[in-house]
Amino acid sequence: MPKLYEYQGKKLLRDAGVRVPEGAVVSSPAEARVVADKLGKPAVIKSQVGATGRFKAGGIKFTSKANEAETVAQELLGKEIKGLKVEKVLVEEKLAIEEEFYAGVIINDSCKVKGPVLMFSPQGGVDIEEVAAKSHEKVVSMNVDVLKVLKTEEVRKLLSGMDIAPSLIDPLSQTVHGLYKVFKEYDARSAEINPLVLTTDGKIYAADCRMVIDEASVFRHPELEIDYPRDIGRAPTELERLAWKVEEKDYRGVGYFVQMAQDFGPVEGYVGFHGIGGGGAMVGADALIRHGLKIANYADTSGNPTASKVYRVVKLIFSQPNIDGYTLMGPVIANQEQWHHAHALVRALREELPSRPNFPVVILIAGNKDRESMEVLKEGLKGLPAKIEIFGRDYVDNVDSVAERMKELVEEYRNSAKEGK
Amino acid sequence: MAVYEFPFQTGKIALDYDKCQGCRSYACVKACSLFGRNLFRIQDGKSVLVSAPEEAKRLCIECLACEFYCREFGNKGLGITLDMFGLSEYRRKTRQRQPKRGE
Repeated sequence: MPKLYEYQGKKLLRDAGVRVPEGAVVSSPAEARVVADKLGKPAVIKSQVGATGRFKAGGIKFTSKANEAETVAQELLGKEIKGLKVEKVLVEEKLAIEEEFYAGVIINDSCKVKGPVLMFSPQGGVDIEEVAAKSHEKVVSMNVDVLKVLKTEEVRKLLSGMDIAPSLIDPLSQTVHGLYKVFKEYDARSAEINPLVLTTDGKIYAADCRMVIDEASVFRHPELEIDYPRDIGRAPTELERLAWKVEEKDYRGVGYFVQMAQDFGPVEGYVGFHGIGGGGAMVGADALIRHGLKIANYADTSGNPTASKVYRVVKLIFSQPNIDGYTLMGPVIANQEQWHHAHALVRALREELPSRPNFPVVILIAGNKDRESMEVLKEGLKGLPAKIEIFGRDYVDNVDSVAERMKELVEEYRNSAKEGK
Repeated sequence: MAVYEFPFQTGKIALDYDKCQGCRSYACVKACSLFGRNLFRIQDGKSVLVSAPEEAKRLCIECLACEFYCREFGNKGLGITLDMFGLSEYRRKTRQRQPKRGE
């Protein structure tokens, strides 16, 4: 799911009428100085990375003069915070904080809720997770009916039960209501303000903002300029960006692809991995790793994808140079019609395998129409020069033997390549 | 019209009627009926769309079965072109080194 940077979230909040600190996002130390100069007061320089705990990780610094802002920005830009490179910093006025609160809206996937839950705590700031875990009484929440319009009065009622000065109930309610409006308008999965602060001059500010947008709604919000909505904890590779294009406007099933390794050489034992169904795919990947194979990528085609989407995912897998095998692991009785996978595999493998003699291909497929699918595969892959083995539903609970077979075929392939056969 | 072409959401199907001539398997029609949305019918000995192309574009589930069965049992007159969203260019660009025996 795509995370918005703090500065992006704050812009949305500001547009919705929520007060945020004055400042601007910059990508160079000189620009940081200009912004700090303009502010003319102590500032805070915040690394813009999609990670929590930035303060403790050294990604947030305070300055009292404009020239310090330049030095601090110089220090932060290009640095890695929690493994993420800082490419922008947010230069903002430093707030004189009196109190810190927490406000959040998050989708609860539980079958009992299936909708947004509004949360508030009078004890915000760092370690909010600890507060929520240890002091339940300090967090209030309410399920929001998305079919109705949330009224400020409902938020006020929620907050009234908390240990908050009566004069703050109204401004806090309006801010939390503003947060919900942003959450809904931008199809978020979660939106949080932590800390939501009361300053010494009695104003309420959103001092931070974290928002995660629903991946399936990205196309509805081109204004957010999200070019790669997967949360993989690093910048995507060119191939991963192409993989997203397969998904971007086609929500018929899932076609997930992410690279686990790059720049490996030939016969190093990396295999292209293709799973069906999140859990089943992981069972398959684990089995391969247990048997000493290395996974070049993780791919998943489930949720009844079109054959065209499955075909593209297989082509993506084969676009990785130097893989020593391909395996489709579907160690689940999938309720999708597997013949779409079969047709896709036949089309892709007929294109890929003629130029790869003895290339190991192991397929485990089970689910609706799996017997018919195996027939399609056997017929369609007949005569190809690769080492192709197909396993069916009898192997669903014996995935280790499939992985073991893959390992043997990969070893044979590697040895014959090394011997120059 | 020798080639009958129509798009679906992420690609297009082309029927080369010169090749289809004489085909009596109608494998594409049967495949679409079994695996897809039954978008074809036989008219004057040829496979044609049941509905308007815009409707077929919406309905097609891109199962690729028509192409597979045409190649297996028909006259290889049906071809599918899929948008690859730049993957072909990527592969060309990176000059993918296919693993070959002996390397």
